[in-house]
Amino acid sequence: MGIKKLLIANRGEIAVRIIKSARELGIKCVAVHSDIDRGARHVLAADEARCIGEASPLKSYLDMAKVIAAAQASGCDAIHPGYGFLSENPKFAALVEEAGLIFVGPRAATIALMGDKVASKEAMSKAGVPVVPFVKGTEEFCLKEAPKLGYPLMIKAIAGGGGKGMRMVSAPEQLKPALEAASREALKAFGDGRVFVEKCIVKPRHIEFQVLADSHGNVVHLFERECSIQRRHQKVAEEAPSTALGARARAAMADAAVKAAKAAGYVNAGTVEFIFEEPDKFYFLEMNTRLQVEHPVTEMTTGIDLVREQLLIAGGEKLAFSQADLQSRGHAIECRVYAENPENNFLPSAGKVHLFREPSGPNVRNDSGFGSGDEISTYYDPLISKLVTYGATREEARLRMLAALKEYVVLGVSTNIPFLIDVMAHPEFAAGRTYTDFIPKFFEDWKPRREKLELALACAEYRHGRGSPSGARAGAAERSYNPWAELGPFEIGTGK
Amino acid sequence: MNLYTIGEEKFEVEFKKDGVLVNGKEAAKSVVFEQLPGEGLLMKLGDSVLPAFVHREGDVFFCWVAGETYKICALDQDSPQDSSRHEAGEKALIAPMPGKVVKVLVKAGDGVKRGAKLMIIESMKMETEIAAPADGIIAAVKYGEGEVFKEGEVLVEINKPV
Repeated sequence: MGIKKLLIANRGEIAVRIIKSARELGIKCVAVHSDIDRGARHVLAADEARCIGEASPLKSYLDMAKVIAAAQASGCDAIHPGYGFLSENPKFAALVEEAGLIFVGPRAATIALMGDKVASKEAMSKAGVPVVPFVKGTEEFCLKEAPKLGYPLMIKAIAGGGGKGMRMVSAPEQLKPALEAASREALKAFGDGRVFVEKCIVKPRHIEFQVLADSHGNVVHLFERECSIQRRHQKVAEEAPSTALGARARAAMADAAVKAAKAAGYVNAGTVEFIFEEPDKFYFLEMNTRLQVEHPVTEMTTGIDLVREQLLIAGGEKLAFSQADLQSRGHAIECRVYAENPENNFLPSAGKVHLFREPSGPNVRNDSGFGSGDEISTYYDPLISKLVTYGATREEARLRMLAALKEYVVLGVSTNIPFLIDVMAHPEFAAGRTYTDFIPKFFEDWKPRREKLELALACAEYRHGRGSPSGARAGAAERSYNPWAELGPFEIGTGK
Repeated sequence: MNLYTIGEEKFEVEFKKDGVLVNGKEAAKSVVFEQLPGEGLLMKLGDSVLPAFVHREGDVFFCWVAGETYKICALDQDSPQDSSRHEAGEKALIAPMPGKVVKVLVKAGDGVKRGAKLMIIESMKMETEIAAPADGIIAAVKYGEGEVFKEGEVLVEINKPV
């Protein structure tokens, strides 16, 4: 059957990324956008675009009826949800199918199962996939049963995600107040105050396996990604392969990932997340039923275009390769470049990007959704781009990443680039000792280095003296004598 | 000579015939600049040339030099509009990031104590309280509830009590 025309229900870098693979397959692409995004990169990259409402995501990108109506009106036969927005909404997946369109992702029932943190764990446990021991029930029941798991404990919201409603408990007297606080927080954030308690894994790593499953029952894995470098439960940098896995642990986890996908009746690209405890213990954490932000590191190391495979699978095709055909070669690292101010508690920094110069070169990939002159809005995720480097070895990829970050120019909004440079340069990261406490442990009091501060001030003073094109500054420049302003352009290297 | 700020810090920058002075200390000997078309700028330091990118937006200079990026604000010493006015008895509360006013808790003429909540703002789903930095009297509330502001704009002005 094959997809002929695809609506991309997303924006930013991921929408641009999806369009690129769809194009290669000869699929026409329709972008949807909010009114403030009318000139955005994903709109410019598509074959056609439709405005679906106001800037607020609830009135545009999250409006299921509008997205589906746009697909029908433009003659699309499929919708790719990207990540975030409607990608893990079982109701949306069901509505798309009811409208007679292909949803590029798993079935609605699979999304619903995996979206329920406790039900998914129970299903996985039944399928023989190890899960972190946990208890759920009334507060009274948790108070009685949870301590039997052994401290420290972690309280999590059943409906949760993103760190909300989460509490670590390291001693018995903290349990009751922590249960109450977590439940209050969960109720406020998700409208559902139910929580569960699980054993807290000390010094964990976050390792996930990419899987691909077609609608003919074939499931393969594309090896792992390590995502332990996180700030407040948000991933900052990812890599493949993991420095922690030996051949045996990798094989056991891959096997569990494939088993998990099969047990869930999974179709399309998915990610099985594990908590890993050295040397070889692992537990199922959750399954992400969509394309992951960090999918490019797998594409770099396996040579498989995951979006292309998603579109082929959704079109009903069989996987063109078997597990034995897949290999992981070399090493890839991804850094998430955000419009945020690392000097001001990483608060989002919105505004106009006046100058955007991306790094490039052999084995450097930058998936971005912005360019010079674009506005970064407070309405959406502040991700500017995902910078990915590849090398024969981890060290080669790491040094390439450092060089690429240092050549990346973004003027107009603050970015976390200086922070990423210091993460990549850190001896613990270089040694591959990446645990989930890496950032709180080594970057608590981080401040950007300011080695070029005086030269930057000199540049500002030079530009100040030249005056602005409108001449608004001319008066001030005349009053303060500035010999450099009078010199004009110089010939460099001729001694003139 | 001109005054600049980076964050809260103030810098005095002066070009002399034989070098650049920052806060009166020599920062570099003989720098020669060449403006390229667009934002590119060449900095000749002795025999080596360092590339830089500078974008000017009013009084703000965004500078990139060798992998480091700075947001540098020029302080206009002649204009009565500059921030030194605030030191002379008036304080302005500047928006730390772009966002929207959720709630205004004071009005012009109100007396406030240091730390009093003046306004609640929201940016990217996070709420932040704007508190009075010192005792004073509200001179002006520049934005109403539901209004959107940009980074660096004055939200509330406070006069010191007389």
